[in-house]
Amino acid sequence: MKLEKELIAASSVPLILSILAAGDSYGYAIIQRVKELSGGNISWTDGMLYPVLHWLEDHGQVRGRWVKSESGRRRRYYSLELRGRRALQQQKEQWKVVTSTLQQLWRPQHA
Amino acid sequence: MPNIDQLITEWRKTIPYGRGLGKERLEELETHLRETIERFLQSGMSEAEAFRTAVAQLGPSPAISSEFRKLDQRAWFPMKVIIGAEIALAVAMAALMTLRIAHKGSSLLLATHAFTVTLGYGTAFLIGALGICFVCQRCFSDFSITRQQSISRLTFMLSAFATCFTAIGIVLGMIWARAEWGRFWAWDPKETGGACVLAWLLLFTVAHRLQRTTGRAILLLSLFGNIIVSLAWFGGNLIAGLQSYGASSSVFALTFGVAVNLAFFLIGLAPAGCLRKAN
Repeated sequence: MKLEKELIAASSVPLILSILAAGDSYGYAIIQRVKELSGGNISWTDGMLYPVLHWLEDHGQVRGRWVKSESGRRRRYYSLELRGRRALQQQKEQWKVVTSTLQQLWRPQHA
Repeated sequence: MPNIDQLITEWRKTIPYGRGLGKERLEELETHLRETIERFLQSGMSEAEAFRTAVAQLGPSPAISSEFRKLDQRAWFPMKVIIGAEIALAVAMAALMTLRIAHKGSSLLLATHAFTVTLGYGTAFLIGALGICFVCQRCFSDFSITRQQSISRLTFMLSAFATCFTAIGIVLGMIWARAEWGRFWAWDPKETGGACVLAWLLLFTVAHRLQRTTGRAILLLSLFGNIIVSLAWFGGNLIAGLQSYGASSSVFALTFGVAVNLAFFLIGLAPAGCLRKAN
């Protein structure tokens, strides 16, 4: 089952912030983590992750820094900032409202 | 059969580099592409197939660039102030020039020389002012790639503008000096100062264009622009010469201005966020 692109777009920010809440990461690893957790159902167009990461950086929610990897190549690692933690908290509350409403509507008596 | 590096070089050419992406974003995408290719190669794909699949997975370059361009539309507040100040300076100088010609009978050539040189020098100061704002904000938080790129684009445009106007102003001044004083150039303190400002602006614009320095380095360099223009504009007044009107300059003010800019330059060398409260 592949998710619709609108839903993927809407969930990208909470997904990224939640992954970064667990520790610093970089674009490629974030995508792999999402694929792994969703069993491959959430599949981003890889390049589209970066404008979102840069938007978050520009809004002070994450901070990017270049780190040299073992291969000698530079990777840009992102870490969650205080503003990002607050945004993640808000996102969690909003998504909880959506999922709890849907769960109530989809109980057998409503179906 | 081209190898991976050649294929990636070809891929880089398909990216609209100048507008939208920029050096660091492109490097980040390339790192991602290389890591995806490596994973595909480990799974047994051929180089060409791994490259093709990784590029497809990354997505179409125009769409990625277009998403980045949307980010660039959000301007940093001091940038808006500097753009406003630049427009106000140009309008004020044009009005002053018109008044001088209409009421004081100044020659059109001399008034245009004063207008263009003042606009060129004033623009150089505005780039320096942006540099000071950059240093101040950087003490509290580092700039995102997006913001650095939009600041960098503005400083390039302003430096090109300042270079053109200063060059035109100097040429007009030379023509006027030939008619009034019988010579084009005499290394008068003001003329020497003008030549130094023009040389500085040319160097700054070319360094910017060739991207030999980072956005941070360019903005720190702009503080030296403040010093050079101050010395050229007001320092010349302190030395007796044909164009001296020393009453408007003071050694103290000039020294203070130079010291302030040097202080901001040193502050700019400190790590980003040095004054930031811990999370």
